[in-house]
Amino acid sequence: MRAESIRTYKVLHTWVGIVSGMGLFIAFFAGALTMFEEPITRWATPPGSAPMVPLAETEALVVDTLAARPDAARDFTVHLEPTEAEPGRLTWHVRPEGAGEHAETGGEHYYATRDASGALVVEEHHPATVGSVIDTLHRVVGLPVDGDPTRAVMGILAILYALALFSGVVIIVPSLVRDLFALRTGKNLKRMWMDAHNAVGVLSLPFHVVIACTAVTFAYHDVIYLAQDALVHEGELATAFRPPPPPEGTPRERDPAELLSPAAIVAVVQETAPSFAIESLQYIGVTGPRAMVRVWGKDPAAISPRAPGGFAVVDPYAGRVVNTAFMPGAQSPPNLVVSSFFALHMGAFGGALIRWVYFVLGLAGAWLFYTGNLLWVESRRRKARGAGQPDQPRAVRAMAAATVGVCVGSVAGLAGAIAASKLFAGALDPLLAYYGVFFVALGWAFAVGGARASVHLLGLAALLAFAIPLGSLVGWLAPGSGLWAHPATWGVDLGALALGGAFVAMARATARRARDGAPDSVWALPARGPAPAEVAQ
Amino acid sequence: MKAATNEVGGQATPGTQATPGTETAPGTKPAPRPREARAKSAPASKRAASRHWVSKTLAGALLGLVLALGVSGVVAELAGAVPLVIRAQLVMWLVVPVWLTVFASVYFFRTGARAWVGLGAASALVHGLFFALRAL
Repeated sequence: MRAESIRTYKVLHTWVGIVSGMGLFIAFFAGALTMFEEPITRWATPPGSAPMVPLAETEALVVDTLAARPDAARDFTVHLEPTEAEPGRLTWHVRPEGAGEHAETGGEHYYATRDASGALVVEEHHPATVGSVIDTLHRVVGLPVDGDPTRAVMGILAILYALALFSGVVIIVPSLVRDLFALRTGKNLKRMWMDAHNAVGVLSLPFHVVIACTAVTFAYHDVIYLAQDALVHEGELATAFRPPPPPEGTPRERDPAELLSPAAIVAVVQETAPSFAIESLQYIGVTGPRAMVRVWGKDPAAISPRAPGGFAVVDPYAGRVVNTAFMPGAQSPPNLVVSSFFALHMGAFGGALIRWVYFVLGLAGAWLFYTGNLLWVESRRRKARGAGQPDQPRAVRAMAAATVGVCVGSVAGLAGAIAASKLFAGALDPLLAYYGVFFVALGWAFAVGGARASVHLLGLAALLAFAIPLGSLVGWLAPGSGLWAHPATWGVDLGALALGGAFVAMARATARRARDGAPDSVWALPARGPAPAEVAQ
Repeated sequence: MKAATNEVGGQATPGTQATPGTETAPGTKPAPRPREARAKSAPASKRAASRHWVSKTLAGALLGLVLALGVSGVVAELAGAVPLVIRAQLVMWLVVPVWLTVFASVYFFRTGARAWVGLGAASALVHGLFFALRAL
């Protein structure tokens, strides 16, 4: 490889890294948390008051509900084994007009149950939004709403991320064998950080290649389909994606009283796939000619086509499996290839073990971008020559403050959002809690400088992380307090406790460095000399 | 991909000096030199590394996408036996990996002009192949 190319790619790596690093940090930290979106949502859902209608009586519940609320026939779900997150056996979601496919939280949510006398009760409920807030922050790199413009921004950052990966590999290839397993922990701290940055980057490279390619595709698939439809598919794409017309002789209107029972529908699918663990039945258009039920579930031994698992399509009147294109373990090879792209991004294969692996890889990715910024700062550091400490360049101070403010601020914000979803349930939108903490943290970082703010904000992140199990503890000890603790989601509390402990350790190490580390650094407290101007802006 | 574009860059105008003029010491012959020697001429090539960012980036972004769409067309033609509903998804997923690989490799070209010529030629080739396959 020409030395000139390597120099070019070094410059490229520096600048795409510094532009995209902080956004990617948020996306990766939030993305690591999305591995546990389901338990977090369950953790944040208050205990339900309505009794669950037994599964055997669900048939009648469906008929009564559709008689009372015909609009529910468009799309409703029967939960076989409802968790804390589901208020009733039967739920549906009326999406706001023109809402996108990811609008899980907007609109109105209803559930149907029966009162003590057996009469039908339909009530609106407000599901815990914190899980989808985390997911949104992940999908659009810390922006509030997942829409076309924010996804385009995410796509640009993902392209920069891809360029950073490629250039990082080009830079390290010539010295790969020599440097990969070297961790030179000596006087030269920058050397050590760079060694660690390189080792983590190279060892998790396959994960990053997958994430970069899938993220860019998620951002721009609509445009790509449009271009390919014109260029490659001769405008036939819309027809191909349209579902086939119902067979001749299908009645235009169906009577839900003739629906097979949920147990019978489950039996139809279970017969063909015994290892498929069925969780819910999604009824779509059951009073119309295209009546179908998506039988959702998971198969830990197979690749899941989507993050929540996959589904078999069943005709709920005839009782036969219509389509297994999205069913784990039953897909055709081409469908499996496409599903694997989703599964590889979302860690939707291999069950809990892979979710933990992805959690660690996500955190390692966030760490990679954080260290990238640290190295940028370190490379531009002004060293002391002779007596007195030099002022660090303005750009270096600003970047140090921004890195700490954005990265640690987003971590604190996410912890705050989760804690608030229980402590202030219904009173404070978790998204507002996130932005409140995030912007205060960012402002604080610029006000007091990176060295001080890094200690303060890590302390804040620890406090907010500890507030997560605190809410559960209060709910457990004092159920009258209005808080709650679900025995099934103690993992969320333990995880937060562990993260909080890690933040405390980092805060202490950071404080030590600020006190005892090299004084000619942007990370040093100016206490030992006359205080230089330290406010970055 | 990396090697291929590199070769295209090398062949497009062989022997052209990496950095036209300015930084070269007077009397230095702007003739082709062995690869190693050229790599070691730090000042000249250092300057070259900071050149052509806009032109190379545009070539990588735009022609990389054109090339990737062409590759997806060729694959779609070759995979004609797969039903359109799934073939369309497969070739959609193909675009971004090809695009990003080409885009990221574009900085191996010595100049922006070479990048445009090289990627333009590759795109023309792939799209020619696509239309030939379709006409068959």
